[in-house]
Amino acid sequence: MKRALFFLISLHTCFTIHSQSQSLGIEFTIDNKPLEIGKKIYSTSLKDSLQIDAFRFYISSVTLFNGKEKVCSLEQTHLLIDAEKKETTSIKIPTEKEFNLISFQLGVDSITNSTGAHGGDLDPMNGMYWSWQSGYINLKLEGSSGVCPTRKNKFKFHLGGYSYPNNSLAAVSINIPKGKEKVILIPLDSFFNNADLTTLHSVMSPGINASRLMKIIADSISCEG
Amino acid sequence: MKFLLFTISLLFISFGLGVNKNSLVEIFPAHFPEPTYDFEKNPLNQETITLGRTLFYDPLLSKDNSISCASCHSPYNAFAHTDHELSHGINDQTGTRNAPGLFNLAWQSSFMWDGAVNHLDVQALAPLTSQSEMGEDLISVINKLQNSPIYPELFTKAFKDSMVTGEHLLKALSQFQLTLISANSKYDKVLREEETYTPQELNGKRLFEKNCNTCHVQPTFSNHEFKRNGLELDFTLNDYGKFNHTKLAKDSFLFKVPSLRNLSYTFPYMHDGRFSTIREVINHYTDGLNDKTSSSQELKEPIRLTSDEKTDLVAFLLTLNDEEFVFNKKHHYPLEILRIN
Repeated sequence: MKRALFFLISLHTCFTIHSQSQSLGIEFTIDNKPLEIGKKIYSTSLKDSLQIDAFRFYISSVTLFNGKEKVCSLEQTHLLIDAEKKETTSIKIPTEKEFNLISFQLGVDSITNSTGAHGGDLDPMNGMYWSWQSGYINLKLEGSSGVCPTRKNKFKFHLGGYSYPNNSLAAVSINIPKGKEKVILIPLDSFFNNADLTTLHSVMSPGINASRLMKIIADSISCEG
Repeated sequence: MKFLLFTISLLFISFGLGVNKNSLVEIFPAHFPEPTYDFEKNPLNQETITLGRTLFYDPLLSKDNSISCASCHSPYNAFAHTDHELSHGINDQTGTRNAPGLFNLAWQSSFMWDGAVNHLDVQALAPLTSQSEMGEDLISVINKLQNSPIYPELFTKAFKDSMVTGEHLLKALSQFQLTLISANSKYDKVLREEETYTPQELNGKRLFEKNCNTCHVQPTFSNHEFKRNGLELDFTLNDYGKFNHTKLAKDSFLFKVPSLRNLSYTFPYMHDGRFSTIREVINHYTDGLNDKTSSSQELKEPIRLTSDEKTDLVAFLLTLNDEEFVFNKKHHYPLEILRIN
């Protein structure tokens, strides 16, 4: 019964893909250890006790290449990835063909940002939309850190901004090594090394900080085979 | 012209019978430019308009179920809040801006006095979540709607899908607001050669076209741009207009050019409701510009008007009142759906 249900669900989610598909997992780490949402850890490299309570972001325009040749792009233009929701941390690739490069945008493009209400992963009910000013939150990272001089040591980064000069959309293009199990790695070390939580613990609007931090995360993304 | 009017009323009458989605675009007045709203992404249909209208009047949208959109956007005030300089919210709170009249929104490309919202569909999120207005969050509203005895059915009718989603909620609110079209004032009727101006109104029109028409462009009476209009900063509000969200010095004190339609219903005036009469607003532009050097280009040359000319100008502005719009029952409280308990 369970199997039948699972089959129906997978049939529903990838009805255009049929059996010709593979998947690309996404993993998050700090100190080379898997990130656990809501769990306090001590990071030896950062010399800080850290807890991540939320890590969510959009990736868009996912395209795969083999050399210079485009292999395919995802039908779903925007995906909301939530480190807490397992079902969102695996990208279904609608082809069995080989690919050695993946490119995507971290965030939501400006056209989507300025064309009204959208549904699915882009529905404002997902909590990734600013209300007092138009625009998607490209990336949310919330938690607490021992070095954060705030109430309950909390930090809150809502990074976004789609228009000049505060466009925070960040391009990612990474090589994919050969191998069966391919995983996109998103280590947060570089973010915390650069954010300096002692002085910067809350970014909630578009600006230089939002764009800078988005780029730092985008640049730290890699792929392991 | 009469034929067009007939077509318009026919369309309104046939609303209840289910109308071809895109034909509703024909309700737009012939003397208006092309709307800026992209109807292809949210094609009007009567069920969705009804849903939007119901949501607009339902206080369920606020945190304590006390305030609806119509609380500050009353149909009898051309969807503004007459005699209230600043908007009101839950727990007897007062906001920081004057609730503007809602009409002819399909011709606007940015919303709020400072243009912080870039599309009609997402505008409702601002008052919905503002702590001093409705103080709610979208998920909570959606839960309330899903558990309501009336909404799942209304959503099903509107979107052929019983899912209450943020997207559908917002698009329905847009659809209702898009039908709020004010194009039956005396000004419009003169354009359609159904009425004529008095000599005083005609002189007022001449003065208007000489002094005001650059920003308050006909027939919507706004160029939908943002201008610095020489108002002194109110230190109790510290509202810097467009600067508030762009943080760019060049945007400080830029506020949206509002439409001048329906002024009799929408007083007080300006973004903070500081003037209660049209005469006070005109006096501001003739004598009260606080800092001419920083006012927008259009106001660098002083507007000179005699007292009689001001009276004539007001007479013309009053021809922009659209009584048919204000009393159009199609836009009023949906008594047949939302029963008062």
